[in-house]
Amino acid sequence: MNSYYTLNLIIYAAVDAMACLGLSQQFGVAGVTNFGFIIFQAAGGYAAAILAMPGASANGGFQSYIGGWNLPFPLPWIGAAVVGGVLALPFTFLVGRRLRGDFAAVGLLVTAVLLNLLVTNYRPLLNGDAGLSLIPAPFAAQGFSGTSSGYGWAFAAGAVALTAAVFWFVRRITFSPYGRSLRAMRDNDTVADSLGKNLLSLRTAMLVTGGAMAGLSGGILVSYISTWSPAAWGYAETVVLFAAVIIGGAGNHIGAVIGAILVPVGFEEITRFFPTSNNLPPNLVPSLEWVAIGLLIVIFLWVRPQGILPERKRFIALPGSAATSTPTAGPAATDVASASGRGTSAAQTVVPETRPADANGQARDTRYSPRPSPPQAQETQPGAAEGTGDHGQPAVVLAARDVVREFGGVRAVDGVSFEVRRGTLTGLIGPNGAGKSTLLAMLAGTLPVTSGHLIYQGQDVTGVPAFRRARLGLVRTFQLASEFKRLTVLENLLSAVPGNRGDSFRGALLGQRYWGGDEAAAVRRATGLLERFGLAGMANSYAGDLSGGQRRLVEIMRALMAEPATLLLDEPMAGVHPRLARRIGAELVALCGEGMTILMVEHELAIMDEFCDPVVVMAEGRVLAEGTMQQLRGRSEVVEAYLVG
Amino acid sequence: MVIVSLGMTLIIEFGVQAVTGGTAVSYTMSNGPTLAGGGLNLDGVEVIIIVLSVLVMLAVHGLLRYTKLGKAMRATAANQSLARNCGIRASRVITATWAITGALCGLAGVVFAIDAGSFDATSTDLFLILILAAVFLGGPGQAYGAMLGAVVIGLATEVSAVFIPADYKYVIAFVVLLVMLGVRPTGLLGAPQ
Repeated sequence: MNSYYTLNLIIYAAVDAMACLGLSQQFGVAGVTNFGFIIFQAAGGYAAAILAMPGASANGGFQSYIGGWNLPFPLPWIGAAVVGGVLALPFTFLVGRRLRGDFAAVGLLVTAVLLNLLVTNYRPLLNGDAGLSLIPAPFAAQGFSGTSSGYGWAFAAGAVALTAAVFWFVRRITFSPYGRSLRAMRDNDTVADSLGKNLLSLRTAMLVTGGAMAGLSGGILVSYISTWSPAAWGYAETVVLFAAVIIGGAGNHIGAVIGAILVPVGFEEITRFFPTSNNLPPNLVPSLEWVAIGLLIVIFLWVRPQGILPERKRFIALPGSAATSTPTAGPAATDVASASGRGTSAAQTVVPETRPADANGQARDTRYSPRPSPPQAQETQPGAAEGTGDHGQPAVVLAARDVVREFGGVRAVDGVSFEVRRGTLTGLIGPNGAGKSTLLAMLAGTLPVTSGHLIYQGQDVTGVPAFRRARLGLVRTFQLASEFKRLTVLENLLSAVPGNRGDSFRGALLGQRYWGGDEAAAVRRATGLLERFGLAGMANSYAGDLSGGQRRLVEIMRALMAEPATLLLDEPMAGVHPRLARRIGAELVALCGEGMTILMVEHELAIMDEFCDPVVVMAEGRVLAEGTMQQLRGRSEVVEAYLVG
Repeated sequence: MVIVSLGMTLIIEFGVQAVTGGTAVSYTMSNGPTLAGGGLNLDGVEVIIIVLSVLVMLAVHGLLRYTKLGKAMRATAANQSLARNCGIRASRVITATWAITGALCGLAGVVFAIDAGSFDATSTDLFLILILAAVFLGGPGQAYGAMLGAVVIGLATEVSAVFIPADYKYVIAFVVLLVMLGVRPTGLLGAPQ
């Protein structure tokens, strides 16, 4: 094995590892299935080429291309990364909220084929099918030659160092609170949205950074091999990278590097050891390579879908006895925890002072400190005005006005108007298909309304997306299990914490020293909740491994971690042991006593009897009646619609 | 699932190529008499292809609409575990679906080869993407959507070849799909969200 061969291996491995890290970050961590990944590498390659090459008339003008700026190193590589990242921007519309994952995947796949066809056929752009050649290596102008051994080693060292930098970068992102949000989005994007995660921003960040990594890897590659043509980046090359990531272990960065070394590099190199014989059909070996890659994908997804190195579980030690000695065990935990947060969370701690008179003389309203309602909402709060004029009734927090939702001609919710008052535990009952869950989904922003208006804390939130409503303190839970399966119970809880300094791209990059304090405070709060609901022992189990009832608890705790001012619960006690259901009910009443507002859908009338006041009855998409359970039992239409039917 | 399908594609496509050695096979039939009418010139083979595709569309329609298997397929697609609990052997329905799909694809392959006159293992490479585009254009899971999507994609590619170089005809098809994904994310006949 000569040194030239070794160099080749190292550089190819570095380039492929860098691309695989980008793809693993998109696919394994953030759940963005980018079937067009290769076009970002291609774009980086072309960018580096046309930045480094002299004008198209050079070398007798045998190739035609745009650009040709003849820029010195390292500008071509920087340009490659920038172009890869910028190219990702138009694709964000494909991965935004509107498009389901498989649609986005097909859209990206189609785009990859489309761009390849364009570049192949339109010669003036990038020399068409023949591709670019004679791309200068770094420092070629200074007379360094690509054939000298010392130069080769320096090149390899540079490539490896850049790959290491990318590795450090993706690790830093993934192991931060921001990375946790990415993984939460991967596991269940609707729920992440309802907890205040901006899916579009998260996915855009992943597409752009992944695109930049792919672009840089392409730039390094073309500088080394000095040619680049459409044949090098057919859409099937993306499949090779996917194979590498799946085999190595999606979501595990070391796995991505191993996958890169095993699949793209390994398959190139292993053919050298095959005997060459003229008796073999001409395309046999390359064909068999593709067959083997296909087989590997299918076998791994069948036998070991988590890959060679599965995603690592994040163990987070509970503060232990410290948690029980501090007063975090009570409902007041929220106050204590947010008070211990510094800087950004200061606003939360001054809630009692800033809360205006809309509490309407109810001192208990100021004891619980959810996130403050936005100041502008407080100043012009019609709900507060109503409240004061209404014989001491607490203010309206959430109101629906003539809300309608149609599903292809069926009116699931047919002109509902009702109000939820501050500090109440309002029940919502009705027969199956009455439109309760649909109404809840519209209140939280998971579903858009067909017509009508939603008012939250005096603000019209009809057009406000779910994640923004969550940030305003309006948080929902789901009827069907909606835990983040591949996050631990503790991580599920932590994922909902608003205002963590590490829960942004910049914060994640600044490192644990920057966000560690917020994280520790969040862990303390989560520990308090876990102990209250008796799940502390499961803190480091995957939420997907829990029983149905435990998952409901995780979901309720997660919603509480979001520091809601108003909580929308969709059958929180379904599948929960009756005794535990009582305890949850009592906790909810206590939270309402501290000023939280809760709207709860529930079928168990005993629960309604015991905890909810008032209760709203829905049937066939309309509000039928409202009052205490006592009053409702006396009304014949309610009894007919629900209690009997 | 998409990844598995692409993996299987690689296995079969290049498996065939490894066996046949990548040589093109020519497959020519006598073109038969030519029909002319309404400005169209169709030879016998083309007429047969058109009649076949109409027959297949009718057959799929009949299968989904009027047979027990078709009903079972639609039930399984809507909710697999519920279908199973209702006494439908979901796994068998899925197998049957794969078999029917395979048969239809095989027929499409024969027709493609007859029309093209020669083919090799990789000649339908781009076809896969075109078909995906057609299905997603119509709305996945919608049989009529797929038919509509196929007609739109087919017409878009061929008609556009009149106005722009034929090299770009597939580009048009893909642009149509991307625009549609932006405007109507669930497909032409897909259920709105």
